[in-house]
Amino acid sequence: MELLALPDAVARIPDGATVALGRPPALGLVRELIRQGRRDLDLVGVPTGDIAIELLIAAGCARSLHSSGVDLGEHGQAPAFGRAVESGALRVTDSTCPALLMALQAGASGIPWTPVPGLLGSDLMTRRRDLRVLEGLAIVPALRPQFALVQARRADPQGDAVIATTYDDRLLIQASSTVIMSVDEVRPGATDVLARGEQVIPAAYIDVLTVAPSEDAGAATERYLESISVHTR
Amino acid sequence: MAAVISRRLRDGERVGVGVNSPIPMQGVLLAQASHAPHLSLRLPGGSPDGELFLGSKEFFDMAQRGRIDVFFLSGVQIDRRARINLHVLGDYAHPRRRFAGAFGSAVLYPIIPRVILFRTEHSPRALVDAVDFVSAAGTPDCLVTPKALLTFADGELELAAYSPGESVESVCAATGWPLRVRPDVRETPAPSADELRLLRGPVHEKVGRVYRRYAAATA
Repeated sequence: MELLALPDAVARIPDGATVALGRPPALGLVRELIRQGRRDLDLVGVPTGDIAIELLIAAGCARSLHSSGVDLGEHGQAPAFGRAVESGALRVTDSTCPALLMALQAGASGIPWTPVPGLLGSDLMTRRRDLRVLEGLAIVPALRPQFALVQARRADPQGDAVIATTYDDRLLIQASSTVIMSVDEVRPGATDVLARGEQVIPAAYIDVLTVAPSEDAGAATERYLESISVHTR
Repeated sequence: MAAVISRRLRDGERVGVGVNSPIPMQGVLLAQASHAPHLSLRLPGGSPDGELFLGSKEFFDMAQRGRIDVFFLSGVQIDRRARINLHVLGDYAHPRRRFAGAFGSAVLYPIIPRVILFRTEHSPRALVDAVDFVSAAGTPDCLVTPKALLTFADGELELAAYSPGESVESVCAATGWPLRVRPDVRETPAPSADELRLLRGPVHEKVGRVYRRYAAATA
C-alpha cells in the first residue's frame, strides 16, 4: 500500500485502462481523472452507473461501459450517457445486476465463468456474444477490472480502511487487480471503533491510498444537472 | 395504484422493492399498515426502517435462494406477453432513444414467484404489441397502471379491472394491442377513507425517507 497525493494516485491510471466504480461514487478521484484529461477508458459501473459514470462520459473520458444500467437516482435519465449511446460514441456491454455481481464474485475467486440463474428469455442473451447456456443455465464470464476506484470513510496509516456495508465495494475490491482508494482522512486507530453499518477492508487489498473528501451523490447530481440547464437553457 | 398494489399483497409475504419504485413502496407500506402486518420489506441497500443490509448482492442472493416472494418491475415499454423493455426505442445497435438499462430485471423476472409490473403511463406507446428490446421476460402476477389492473393468463395480459372514471372501452383504446377482457371484469373500488389516511400520513412519511423528491412532489 502506498499513500500518494491525489494527482499522483490518479496518474497511475493510463489512457485506455479498464476502470470500475462502485458506491458511494469516488468523486474526488473521478474529477482528478477528468482534470488530467484521461481518454478511452473502459468503465465498469458496479452494479450500475451513477453521477460518477455520467461525469466521465460527459467529459469525454470513456470509450465503453459495462454495467447494468445508468441513471441519476430520483433525477432519472443520465443525459450524457443517453446521448453517447445514441450517437454511437460509447460502446455498451449491457448486464443485469445479479449477473454483473456474480461475474465479480467469479473474478474475486479466480474462476473463469459462473452460472447465473434467470436471464434466459432476455435479449441480452443474444446481444451479448460472450454469454452462453450450459445445462439450462446462463453462463457469464468472470469480471476482473484492471482498476477499482473506491471511496472509503477513513483509513489508518497501515492502510486498513473503513467503508459502509450498504454497497458492493468489498466484492469490487476483491475482484480488481489494482485498488485506488480515496478516504476522508488517514489517522491512527481509524478501524478501532466501527459505527453501525461500517466494515473494515484489510490493507492487503489496497494498492494506492489518497485523501479526497467524499461528496454526497445527490447533491453532486443536482449541481451537475443545474450546470447543464444553465448552459442549455 | 398504491391501493391496488397493496390489495394484491398477502400477510407474511417477503417483498422486495428495487430502485425507482416509489409507488410500489407506497403499496407495500400501505399493506403493512393495514391487512398485512407480518409482510416483510427488503430493498437492495436497506429498509426505510433502517434495517442493515450487506450490499445489493446480498439482496440478489436472497432472491436467487427463493427468499423473496414478490418483486416489482416496470419498463419504458411493456408488451402483450408482459415482456419489459428498459433499454432502447428502435434498434438496439443504433437506438433512437437509449434508457437506463436492465438493472436487476433480467435475472429477477424469471425467478421471483410473484412479479407485479407497474407503469405510470397507460398509453399505446407504453403498452405495445411487441417491445423493441426484451430486457427481461417472465410470468407476472399482474400489471398495475393508473387506468387498469391487467392480469396474466395463457401467455397474455388481459383486462381484469378498470379504475374509477375509466371503462372497458377507454382502457382498450389506451392499450397498444387488441386487449382481451376477462368475463368477470369489474371497476376497481376507489381507495377507502382508511387507505387514504394511511397513504397521506405514515406511508408518505416513510416513503420520503427513501424518495425525498417523490414525497415532496406528492405532499
